[in-house]
Amino acid sequence: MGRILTIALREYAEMVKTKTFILSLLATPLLIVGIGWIGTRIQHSVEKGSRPPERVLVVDLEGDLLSGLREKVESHNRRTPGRRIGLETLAATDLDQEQAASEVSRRVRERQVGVGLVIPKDAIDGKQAIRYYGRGDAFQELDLFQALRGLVNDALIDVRCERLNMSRDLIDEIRRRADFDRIDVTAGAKQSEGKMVMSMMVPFFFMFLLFMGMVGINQHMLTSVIEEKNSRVVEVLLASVSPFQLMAGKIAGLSAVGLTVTSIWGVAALGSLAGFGLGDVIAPAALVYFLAYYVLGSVFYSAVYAAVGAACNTLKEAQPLIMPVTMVLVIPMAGWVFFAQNPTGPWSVALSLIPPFSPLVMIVRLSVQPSVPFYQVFASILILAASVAGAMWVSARVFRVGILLYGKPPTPREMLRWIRES
Amino acid sequence: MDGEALFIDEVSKSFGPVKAVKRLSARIPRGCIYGFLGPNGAGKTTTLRMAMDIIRPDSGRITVLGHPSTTHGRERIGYMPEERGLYRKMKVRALLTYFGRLKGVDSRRLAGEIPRRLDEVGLSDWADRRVEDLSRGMQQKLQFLVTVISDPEFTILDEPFSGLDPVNLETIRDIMLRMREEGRTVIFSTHMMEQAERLCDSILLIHRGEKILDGPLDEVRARYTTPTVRAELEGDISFVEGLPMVERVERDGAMTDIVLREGADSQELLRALVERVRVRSFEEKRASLHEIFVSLVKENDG
Repeated sequence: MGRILTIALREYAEMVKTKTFILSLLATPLLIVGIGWIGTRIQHSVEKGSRPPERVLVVDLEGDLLSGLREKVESHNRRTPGRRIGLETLAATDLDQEQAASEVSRRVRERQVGVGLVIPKDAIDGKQAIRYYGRGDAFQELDLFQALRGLVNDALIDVRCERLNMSRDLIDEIRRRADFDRIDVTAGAKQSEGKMVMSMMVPFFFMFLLFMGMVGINQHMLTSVIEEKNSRVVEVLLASVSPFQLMAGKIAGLSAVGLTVTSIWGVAALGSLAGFGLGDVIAPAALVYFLAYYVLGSVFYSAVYAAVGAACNTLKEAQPLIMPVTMVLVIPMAGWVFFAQNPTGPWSVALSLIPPFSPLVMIVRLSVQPSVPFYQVFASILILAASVAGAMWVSARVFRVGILLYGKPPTPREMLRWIRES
Repeated sequence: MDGEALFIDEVSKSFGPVKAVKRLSARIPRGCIYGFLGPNGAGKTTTLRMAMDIIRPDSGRITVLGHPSTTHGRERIGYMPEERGLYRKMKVRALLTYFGRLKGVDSRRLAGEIPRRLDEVGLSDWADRRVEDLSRGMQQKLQFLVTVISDPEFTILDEPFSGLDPVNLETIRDIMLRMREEGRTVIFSTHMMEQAERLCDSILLIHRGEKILDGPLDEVRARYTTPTVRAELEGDISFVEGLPMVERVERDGAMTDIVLREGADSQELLRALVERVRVRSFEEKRASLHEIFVSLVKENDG
């Protein structure tokens, strides 16, 4: 036990001292905050900015719509000066639909204007679509497309109101939506929309931290094992400790590093939630379970990574072996909304019992439904703990043989043989 | 005392189709310097690794200090592998502390021991430098210190002299001799016969995984030396070939090698010579380990 601790302490100290560690520790939250900030800045500058107005060529074959549309565009330009629209129209008025279409599309193609609109004759009564001519870069035009669709429809409703002799104000009043306030009966108080969004993000946040703990930190396990192998320090270590002790020490050390990082991020996140008065979106029991799943999940994956690292000589060799192990975790990551919405469904219950999915799925269930039956949590942790022991046992065997082998990496079949033989 | 330092009993080990060690047996007593000799690929490293339980034999049994190799306490054994390796980024003192701690030595003792050890090999000024800043020779000495920092009862050194200059070699040799004086056991492997000759009390000679011979160095020499005298003689020496104790005579410039018959006494030869010619030098030749080694390996191959 003393040896394992000595190895763990060195592993921890060496890891925590490195610049990359300190950078990634600080950089990850900073990056998240930074991306958010830059996002809002861009949004801001787009709205405030002084881009030249987008040139839109409109041919109104209906005839009554254009003047209304002009008004709508003017008020749109006043509202969002960063996204102004410059309306243009053709001088010729006696075009039929086909002529208009070919003229508009020609000008769009030749870049005389940005986009074009052809409003058919019976646009107000009939069901014919309004034609929008763009240049293929649909993604960049998305804003403009949506803005024009809104403005044209708005103008359309005005003309219809006029023709039917109805009040536009009345129509707006009829269509006005009622606000919704959500009241959480377990919390007893009215919940703001922000809080609702936050509490929906909590399961994902937990899951993400777990995922980082199981996979992210363990990249260092690969690097560290392969480095010791290549620097030939392994055999010197094996003069003092057994392969199992070496592996266990490394797992303990790196898991502790992961726990440190996660704690710092977690405390920072909880702190900022509390700062916004949202501290109670996380149940204290969920934190305890989180810790248990974190430690077990992290050790499970550490053991797998240690074995793979020992079997390989370079990171490049290790990647194809590590890929499938990591990719299975994408299943719960991708399906988290499903698990959050159906915490008692058969899939959720089953996957919350089966490692390596169980930590990720169960933490989602626990954070959306604090009343998960205790026997399920207990069984899930028990199965996971047994799997951790199994993973350690198997990995120790692969580790023992692999750590002293140089040359080409083993096939999975050879690794199975090592497990059986040693 | 609980048994020999190392007892190897009918041990075999294969790597795939390659038989690295074949039914090897040897007893290494305590308190001696013992040499594992053999050409490259003879199975020396494999045997030593099995003694350390780094790899396990396919069959046979190994006990170290009286305990089976799979359960022995590694803290009583020092092992320097053939493939040297240190943490390049660690500082010398921290490195020695770490490996000392892994051997179960407490930190306070290490704090006193490390400066003394560094001084002994002339690395005092490097205690707070990173390993990667040391020259190759210094790293070799540091590797040796890592092995013996816990004052092990039993030390296994795999090719300890490879890559060492004569001065550093002398430093390491002196420490090994001192360890023997303190009653500790040292096994080392080498293919450099002169070093073995100067240091070993006993040797084991292996070739292609098999034992060719083992035993105390003196006995080995006596067993494999054809009694030969190398003399510088003045005068007509044609009579020598006719002497009853002489097998044959070989001229080598000014020197004469006289091979004696089995059981003959070299002193009788000297007496016979002195009567007839001037004897400027007279030396009983002992076969060097190198010669024994080469002849036995050749014999074994042929």
